Amino acid sequence: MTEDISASFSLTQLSHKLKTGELSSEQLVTHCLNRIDKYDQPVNAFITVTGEQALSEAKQADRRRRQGDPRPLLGIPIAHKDLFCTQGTLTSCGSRMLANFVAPYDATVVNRCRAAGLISLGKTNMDEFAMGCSNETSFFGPVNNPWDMARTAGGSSGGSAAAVAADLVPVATASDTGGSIRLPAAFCGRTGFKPTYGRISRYGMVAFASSLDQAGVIAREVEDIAQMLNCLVGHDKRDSTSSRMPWTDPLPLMQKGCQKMRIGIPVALLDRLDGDCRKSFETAVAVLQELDAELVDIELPHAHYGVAIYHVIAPAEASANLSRYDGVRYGHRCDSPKDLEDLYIRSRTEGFGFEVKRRILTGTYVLSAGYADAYYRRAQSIRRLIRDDFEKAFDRVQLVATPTTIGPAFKKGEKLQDPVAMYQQDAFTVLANLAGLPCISTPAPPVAGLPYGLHLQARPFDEISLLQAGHALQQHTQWHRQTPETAT
Amino acid sequence: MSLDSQLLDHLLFLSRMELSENERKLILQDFERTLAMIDVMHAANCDSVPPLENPVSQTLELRADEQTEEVDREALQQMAPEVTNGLYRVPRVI
Repeated sequence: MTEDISASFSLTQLSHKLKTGELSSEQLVTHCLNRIDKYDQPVNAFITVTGEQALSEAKQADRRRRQGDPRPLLGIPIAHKDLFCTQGTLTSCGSRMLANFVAPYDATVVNRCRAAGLISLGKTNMDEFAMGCSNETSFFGPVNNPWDMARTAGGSSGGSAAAVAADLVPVATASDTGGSIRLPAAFCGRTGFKPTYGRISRYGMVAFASSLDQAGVIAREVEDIAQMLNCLVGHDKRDSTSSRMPWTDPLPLMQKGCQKMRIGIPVALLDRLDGDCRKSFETAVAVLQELDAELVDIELPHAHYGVAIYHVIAPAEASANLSRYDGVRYGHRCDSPKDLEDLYIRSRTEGFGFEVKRRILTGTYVLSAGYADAYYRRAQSIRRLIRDDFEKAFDRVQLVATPTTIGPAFKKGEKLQDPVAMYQQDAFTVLANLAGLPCISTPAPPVAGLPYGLHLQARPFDEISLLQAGHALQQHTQWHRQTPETAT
Repeated sequence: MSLDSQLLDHLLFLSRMELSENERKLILQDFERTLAMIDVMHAANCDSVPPLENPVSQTLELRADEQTEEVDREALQQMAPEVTNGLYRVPRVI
């Protein structure tokens, strides 16, 4: 039974088994909790596991299903990245600052999952305040890649990606400010989806950089992503950036595939790839071509400024957002402060880790008197040029394809002493955040035995084209079905 | 631009944080490299390009200035480090 469940860890298959009674939610949740017990200690994907509550909810879900409740996701387990507020359960954001923070309310993402009948198994590990791409900045220790425990799972949603990769849970929520869904999904061999800026409410999602942050999902298959988007998308009056753009159920449209789709390839950006990565990318896009997509060379003339301006805009917004952590209303407070200034300084000094401090200082620098125009304002102008480049490209093509990352998962510690090398990991992914585009990372052929990702981007609110192309690719390949040996 | 010890002290003051000696050394050393990476943006020709604050062209909605929800003061203050008589407690200011 156990192996059967793991082998069919797609939401569609699980939903079918639950509906036909072949599987109960209690069995499924028990199976996942057993796997977490067995495999999570070396992986470190979870910060909090809410097993008892999950089992109680599973029993309720089984009762409801017997009474005719038709919700397709009823009784399926999920894990939430530990920056989504969960009423009554720790929301640490991977930081000592919030290591004691229990939110008094649920994030809209959590609420909508609950309304769909999904059962939360707990909260997943992440880079502190989502600042990192290797999950090595978490106060709760690094997440290890289930494919090779000596390597990073990627970040910042490393816990969500590793939990799905190791089949600890079939789906997990995540967030993406510069690549934090797609990069760990690529490193762990799973599918990661960042919708258009504003598509999914961020109410109750701890803020990092507000003009870039977007909630999303990591799962095994594109079809799972489509089901989750049906559950999560929709206007939320509690988030002023939440979009009212109409949403159509993508599931009946998935079979259309990528026929006649024009897919742009910014060839100049591929120069930095080594031979194996380039070959993997070319193999993946060749499958799309075989499926009747047309590959077109395009130019994104300002794309090479992406990482530079991201590391102006994101820290600037982070330095403002993180000013709320003052040790007064919630979060870490130092012992015996001698005055208010001492309370602020020591609480923040003790509560934040080194990378967070570094980014707050960078943000304070680029916003401070004399530098704001030269850095922040200029970066926002270049951001417009990058968005305009994409708009021009989308006049000619429906999707833009690149690899997700410049290489497969690197070894832990390898880039910790070189922040610039670490920041370059996001070179392909930051562009979509800067331009607000929806995008997907889906597994491509492995590189040196490690997972690697194909990254597709679409014009704002055209999530459906990404799902169609990604689904077509997964229908004709097996890369997304691989499971790491450490988890079998 | 560069970061010297005096400017770092000013940034630390603005952001209400302190660094250990080792962290100071690392920040000063890494900041040079980070700024070098960032400074490539000065090559872009963007003087006449307006900044882009919101990536998606949509107007943020304003809501009516009406109270729609009650705040549960007690629940909110349960997570505070120190509360006295329904007020957040901090060290004496005056």
